[in-house]
Amino acid sequence: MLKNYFKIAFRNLSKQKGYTFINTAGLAIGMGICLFLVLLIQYAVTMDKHHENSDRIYLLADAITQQNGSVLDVGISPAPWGNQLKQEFPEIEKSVRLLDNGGNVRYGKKILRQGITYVDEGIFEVFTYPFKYGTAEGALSRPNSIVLTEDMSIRYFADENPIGKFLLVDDEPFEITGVLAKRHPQNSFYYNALASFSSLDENDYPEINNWRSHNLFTYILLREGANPESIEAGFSDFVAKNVGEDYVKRYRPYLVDLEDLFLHSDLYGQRWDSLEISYIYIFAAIGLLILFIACINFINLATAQGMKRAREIGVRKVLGAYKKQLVFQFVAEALLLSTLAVIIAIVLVELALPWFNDIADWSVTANYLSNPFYLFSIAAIVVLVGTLAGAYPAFFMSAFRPVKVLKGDQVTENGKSWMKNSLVVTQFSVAIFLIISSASVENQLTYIKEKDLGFQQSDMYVSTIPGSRSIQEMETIRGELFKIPGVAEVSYSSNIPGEEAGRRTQFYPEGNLQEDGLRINNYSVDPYFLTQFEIELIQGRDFSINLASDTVSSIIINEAAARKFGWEQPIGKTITQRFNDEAPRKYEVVGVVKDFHFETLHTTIQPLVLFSDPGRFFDISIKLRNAEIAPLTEQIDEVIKAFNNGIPAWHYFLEEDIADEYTTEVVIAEMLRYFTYLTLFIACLGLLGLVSFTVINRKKEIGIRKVLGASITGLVQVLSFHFIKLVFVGFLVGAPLAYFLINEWLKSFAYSNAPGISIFVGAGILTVLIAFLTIGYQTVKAALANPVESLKNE
Amino acid sequence: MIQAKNLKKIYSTEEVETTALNNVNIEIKEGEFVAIMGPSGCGKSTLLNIMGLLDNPTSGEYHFLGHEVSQHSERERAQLRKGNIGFIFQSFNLIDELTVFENVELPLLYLGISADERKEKAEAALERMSMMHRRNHFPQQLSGGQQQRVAIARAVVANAKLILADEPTGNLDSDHGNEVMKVLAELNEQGTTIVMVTHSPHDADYAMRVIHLFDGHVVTENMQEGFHV
Repeated sequence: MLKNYFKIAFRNLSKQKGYTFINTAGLAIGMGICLFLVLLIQYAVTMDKHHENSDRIYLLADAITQQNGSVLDVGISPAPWGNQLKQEFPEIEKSVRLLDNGGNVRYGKKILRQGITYVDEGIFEVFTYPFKYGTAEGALSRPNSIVLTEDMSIRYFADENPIGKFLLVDDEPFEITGVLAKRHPQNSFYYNALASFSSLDENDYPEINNWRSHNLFTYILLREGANPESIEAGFSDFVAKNVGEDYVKRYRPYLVDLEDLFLHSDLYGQRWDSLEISYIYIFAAIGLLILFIACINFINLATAQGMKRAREIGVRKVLGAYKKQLVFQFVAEALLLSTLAVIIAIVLVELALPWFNDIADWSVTANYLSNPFYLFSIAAIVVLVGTLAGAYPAFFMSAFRPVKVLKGDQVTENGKSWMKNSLVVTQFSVAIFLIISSASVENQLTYIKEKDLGFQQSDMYVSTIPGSRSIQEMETIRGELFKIPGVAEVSYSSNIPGEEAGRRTQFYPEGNLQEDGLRINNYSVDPYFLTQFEIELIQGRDFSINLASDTVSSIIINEAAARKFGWEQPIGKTITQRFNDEAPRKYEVVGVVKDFHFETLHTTIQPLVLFSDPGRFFDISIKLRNAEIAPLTEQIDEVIKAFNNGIPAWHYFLEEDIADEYTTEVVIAEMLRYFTYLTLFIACLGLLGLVSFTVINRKKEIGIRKVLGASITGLVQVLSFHFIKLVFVGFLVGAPLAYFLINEWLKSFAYSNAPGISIFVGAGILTVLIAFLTIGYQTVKAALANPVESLKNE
Repeated sequence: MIQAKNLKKIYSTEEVETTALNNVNIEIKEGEFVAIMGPSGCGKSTLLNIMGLLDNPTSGEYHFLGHEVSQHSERERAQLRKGNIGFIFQSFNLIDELTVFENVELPLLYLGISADERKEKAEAALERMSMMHRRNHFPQQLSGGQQQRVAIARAVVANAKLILADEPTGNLDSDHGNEVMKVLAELNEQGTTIVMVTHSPHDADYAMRVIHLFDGHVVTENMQEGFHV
């Protein structure tokens, strides 16, 4: 019997090629998107879970109450805390600190600037890092030991085993005690090399004894069964006892589950990748919606197809088939089709993954053998789609009355047209929703790209000059750089706008007597900086190369700072700065610059103070003329290398670097765009299928209308109007929904461009146009048909 | 074999009630060949559907093989129908996606008969209708007369005791029509009870008895005097 079902299913599918194509293509795309999102979401939620103890590892975070009362959540903590916590809380099995630092790392003639992370030796007991060479035990127990990542090992030693060799980190020898195996792709944080924390010299790094300076990461491993909340409950006593009673209100430390870091954290100072969890929800919803509309197609088409098969059903019933057997037969057919579709879907996913991994910089793969969840999803999707989408047509068809269908009566879905109509409306609501969302996201990205950030970013080549240098030496470097034709301007600074917030220190502005002062971002820039970056000076003067006093006693502030300090006339006012344990210094405001976006557009422009302290000139920005970029940058790199003991420096183009800040948004825009195309395609397939069946069902009516003198255009109108009406209703549902959700999304930007009416109108017109093109061919063909043919058939 | 007492069938829509059968009393004995005649809309097909257990009467009694079935559910009727009643339609109603052999085999599938036995029986039925050479063809590849012979093979394959034929020659030219009528007459001679609805007095001549319906009533019942063989 089963054989008979499948035989007839196969023959039906191969006979009705158009129908099979529409159904399979729609389902395959819907399933493909779903499976693709299953892999993506699975990848995101299992981030960092490959560590054996991942469920017991926590990051020590702190909620710091600032002077203005706002709370800053930071992922970094003071160096002495971790060890002390372990001593006071028996539930803590281990605590390890990670301190990032950079250095010139030399082996033989090879010198590269590398990030080095100083870690406590217990790191390998907390995190699971398999070793390629050497073992975890004792690897970092002595000072000046270093464990390299595989990448860094290859950089210096190619395939050689480097254990026992010495690297010079800023001229200090470090013994290589191990090489880590290839980095697990689902590690949300990166290292180059791990050096023993005991190598750090207290004189060079006084912060390691400072109980109030949040500057490194502390990870805590709890004992099995320990409850993090009970530890957190003891934190305020911990602060009172070790940091000071005054700090209980300011510092509220807490623990963040390692497994939650990727999706649930937005902590100041974090240096790991993260993704907002809401994106996961949004994409899961989109995946299900698309699958849903593909199922709608299936239901509609199978039902319409069922009318064509009414006779077969009637015959089977006359010959003794029970209703149950017929239901089973049609569900079996649906399962066959959904199996076919899932095979195509799997191929589509395989094609989409490299594209996605490239734009998102992830490493998602469909490891069929080691990923039972994915296999389960595939099976579940086949069964779910097959039975759910197959059930309605199956019950509908098996209810045909043989007496009627065998007599050749036209089978119609009496009273069921509301269902079909609402299905079409749903499809187009989703399609319109996606079109508007996608266009709005693109709109916002264009806005970001084109927004005047208040400073010049194009043709700006940025390099680093590590170490303190004399002003004379910096002038020499400038001179050398200017010898390269194509170099237009050169300036030094501690930070580059558009990238990072810069250092935050305590300021006591004149007339503001708050005890704690204000923590404000500050840069150090040379006298050429403002001109080069075209940052507008609106009051006072720029730093001057001729005034040596500018480097020690003058500052420039931005408008936001002037507002913050409550100064109408800032020029001539003074500010006192305190930085760690240094003696307080007094500065005079000499200029005010127009606000510029020194951080991303996610945040509003904060107060900023500009110094001109050459001791902090780490970055060198070179403005290029429109020249051949490649040879130019090579020459620049050579000049800088020559002044840096032959060590090549980091370098990049500012414009690209700023664009990188919005990677997540770009990836989302790309995904949304493709999802929109596919959804529109599925919706049109569905419409096409429905129209062709409608045309068949109304053949007699068309014939009669023609005999009675209807014109071709009149007929096309009659046939199309109904569908266009449904698309329009879809618009009325989808558009407000998109408007609402997009506005929510835009709230994550401090500066956003709400989608204009043109996007909504455009989406509506586009959809109606596409729908009209889809149904046009069928309706025109039907209208042109000879009425004699259609009436004879009846 | 068949006893109908005061059969009534009323089709009702929201506004109209149409009486298709009104107090019809009929008895058909095993081995009979009965033709039902009458103008369009007189209730012939309705009567045939009730006899074939495809439909229930609105009121009255209907006994089939000794069972009172007028109030049976669809499932019970299907149960009784299987293997006992064969159908022949004006438009053949073969399934286009199945081959000649598979069409004939279909009733046996629903009876749950084993594959070997199905093959044997279906081949025997096709042999009987001289259609074995076409067993692997699809219905559209056959002439109308051949299609109807396949339909007859399908009707007899399960050794049905009763064959109901609804204008079996209606879609055929006279040569093919005669051919089909001869096959039916042969089946009747071999003991199968046949009830046939027809417009054609020529076809009705093959029957032993002709029942005339008019507006849902039986108006006359004639015994035929002689048979064309």
